[in-house]
Amino acid sequence: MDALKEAVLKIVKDTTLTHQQAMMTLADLAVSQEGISETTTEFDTLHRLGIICDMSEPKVPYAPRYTLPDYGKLLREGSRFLRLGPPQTLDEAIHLLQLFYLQVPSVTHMPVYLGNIDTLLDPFVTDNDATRMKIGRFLDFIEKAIPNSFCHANIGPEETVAGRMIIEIETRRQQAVPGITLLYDKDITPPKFAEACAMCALTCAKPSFANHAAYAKQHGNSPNGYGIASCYNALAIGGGAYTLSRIVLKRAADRASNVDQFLNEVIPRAVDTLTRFMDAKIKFLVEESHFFKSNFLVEEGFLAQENFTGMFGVVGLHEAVNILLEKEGIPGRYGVDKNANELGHTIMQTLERLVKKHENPYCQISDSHFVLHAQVGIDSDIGISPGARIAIGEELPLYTHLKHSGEFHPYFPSGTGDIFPFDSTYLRNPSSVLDIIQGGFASGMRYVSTYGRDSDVIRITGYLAKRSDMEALDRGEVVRQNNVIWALGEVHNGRVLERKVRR
Amino acid sequence: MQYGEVRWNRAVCNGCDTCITLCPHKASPKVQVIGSDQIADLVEANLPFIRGVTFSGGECMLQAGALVELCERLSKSVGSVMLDSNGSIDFSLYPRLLAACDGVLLDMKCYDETKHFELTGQSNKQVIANAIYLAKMGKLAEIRTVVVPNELPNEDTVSRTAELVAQWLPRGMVIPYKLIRFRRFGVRGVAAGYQSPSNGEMEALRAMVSAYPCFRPLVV
Repeated sequence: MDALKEAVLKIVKDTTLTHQQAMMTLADLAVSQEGISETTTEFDTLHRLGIICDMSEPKVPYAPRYTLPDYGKLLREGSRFLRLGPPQTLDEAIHLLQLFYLQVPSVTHMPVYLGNIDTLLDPFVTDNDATRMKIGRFLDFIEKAIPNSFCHANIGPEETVAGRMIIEIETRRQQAVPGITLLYDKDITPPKFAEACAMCALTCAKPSFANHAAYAKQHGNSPNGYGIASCYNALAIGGGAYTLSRIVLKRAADRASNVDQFLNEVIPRAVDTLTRFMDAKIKFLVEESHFFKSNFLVEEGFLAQENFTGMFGVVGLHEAVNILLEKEGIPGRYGVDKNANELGHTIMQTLERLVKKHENPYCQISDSHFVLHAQVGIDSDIGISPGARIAIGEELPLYTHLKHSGEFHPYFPSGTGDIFPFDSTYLRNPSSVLDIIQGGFASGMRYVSTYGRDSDVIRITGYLAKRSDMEALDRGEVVRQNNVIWALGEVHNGRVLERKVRR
Repeated sequence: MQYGEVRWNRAVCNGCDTCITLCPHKASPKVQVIGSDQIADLVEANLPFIRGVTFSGGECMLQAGALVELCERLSKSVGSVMLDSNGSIDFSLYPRLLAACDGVLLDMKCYDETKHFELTGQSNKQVIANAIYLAKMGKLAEIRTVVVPNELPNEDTVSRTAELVAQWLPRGMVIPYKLIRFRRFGVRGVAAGYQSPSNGEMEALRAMVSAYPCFRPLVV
């Protein structure tokens, strides 16, 4: 109890927090107390060693980690809970979306998916300055009412008047919230619009580019298609993910004596323990907590249990491969050497096989299996690279790097991505950035993010933050965006400002 | 330096180009003799990240024979193939090369022959003949002029080049006219003392080019 009391007081006295930030942190504390739920001894052991990690999710979850409401349905039908009918005008559409967003939970207590905002609004849009102002205010509402850059909007793949306006406004606005992804398909997205998006990305780190053709195919069985939520998570619209738990390959490799023991003992034991833990958490969420029984999002059909899945996160492949080769006394570095990359594939294929072997009755949308996810890391990871990414400081020449990413992205159906900052000379030729993204997709990549070397808004790992906000927080000032604290941690621990700038 | 020659070691080279300034003839020791197939392999290794390739130089037309095979192969594998040339070699002698490439980026240093002679030691008759020939064939992909205030009659060059090329371009074809600011960076010898043009000078030239619907002015 003393530890809890101390933790509560620390939050209550913290002068860098807004009221809302303090309230949410206190709420998280309540559902994370020691002993509030039972875990197995096996889980406790591996968790203490840091080989598996619960991402500090609530021990007793009362909402899914990621929700992707069916906003198309909202605009067609309105909501009984909000007592609002389907909108007839742009003002009504924006009003409805804004009020609805405030009711959408996730692990951040805020929406992590805002919908395909261009196609949602476009039917109500006429190309004039009044509309431009309204969309500008809509984006401003999102930035101020949902101050967390895991809240993510999608645009594309078609070009729309609304989409063009959003990109034009974002280029000028220079804000970290919301995150935006362009669902990009070279056969659907007109080059001029894609170039405007690349230009916007070079100035404010968004939108990122998702390989729409690959994701649309992968989510072919989802009745409402897919969306990109939170960092870069590709999940079913009308559903989402109950949980994201992760295996930390670097620490698993630290504990292994050689490659064979790593693949045949350490990894299977960790996967078994983690999948059982996820089973228990999902069972509680579906069967015990109120969410799937009484939340209006489920009752009115904006979300449905059968569209949710469990995300099995992976981090630190780069370090695991290097550690294992060193233990074997074999020279080789992940990214650079063929034998190291082959070991990387073997590890990923082993994980894929083991995770596919496990069944969970509540993951109907993904054939009763959990889905692999390239987790981007948390601020306390030191010397552990996100997912299968090549470590910062060891980047390869651009094309080789992209081809490497292209080989590893397909292992992660529920999301992965790579980040490439570019020199300001690319601003003069955004089509060359597009060529690079297009080549990456042709090489198998699923998701590419970029930003300009001199931007204020930059991509941290899977989310955006303003350098100026990080500096303010570092001085002890209050900052409105609530995940800037993690960004600052990544800057201190994750070397994000040292990424290789492409010229 | 060894026996009066610069020995170049690729493994330790950082690309500072001091070796070139050390040579009394300003020759590069980095020159390699390789076949057109090897060059094509090097280019194709960049797929799928490129949509095209441009051969520059020196003067790429000094290797016109080798360029034919190269362009024929790369236009199939990579896509667009361009030649960046100073126009000193007669393009009408190389119909097969022109058929295999998408177009030529042509340098027009100076339209006035006397001035051109002073600048380069050569007449510009061939350059002008090439500009007409390439425009007529629809193979002129870009025309470019480096703007050096005081040293060159920039206005005269741009206006007369624009007037000439506009007459011969196929109807409806629009090409970039690239106006390049002279910059001292990386320039040696007497030209290192030249001035860069002001924004005003560049804008005046842009306006001149804009008067022709067949040109898209680009100031860099």
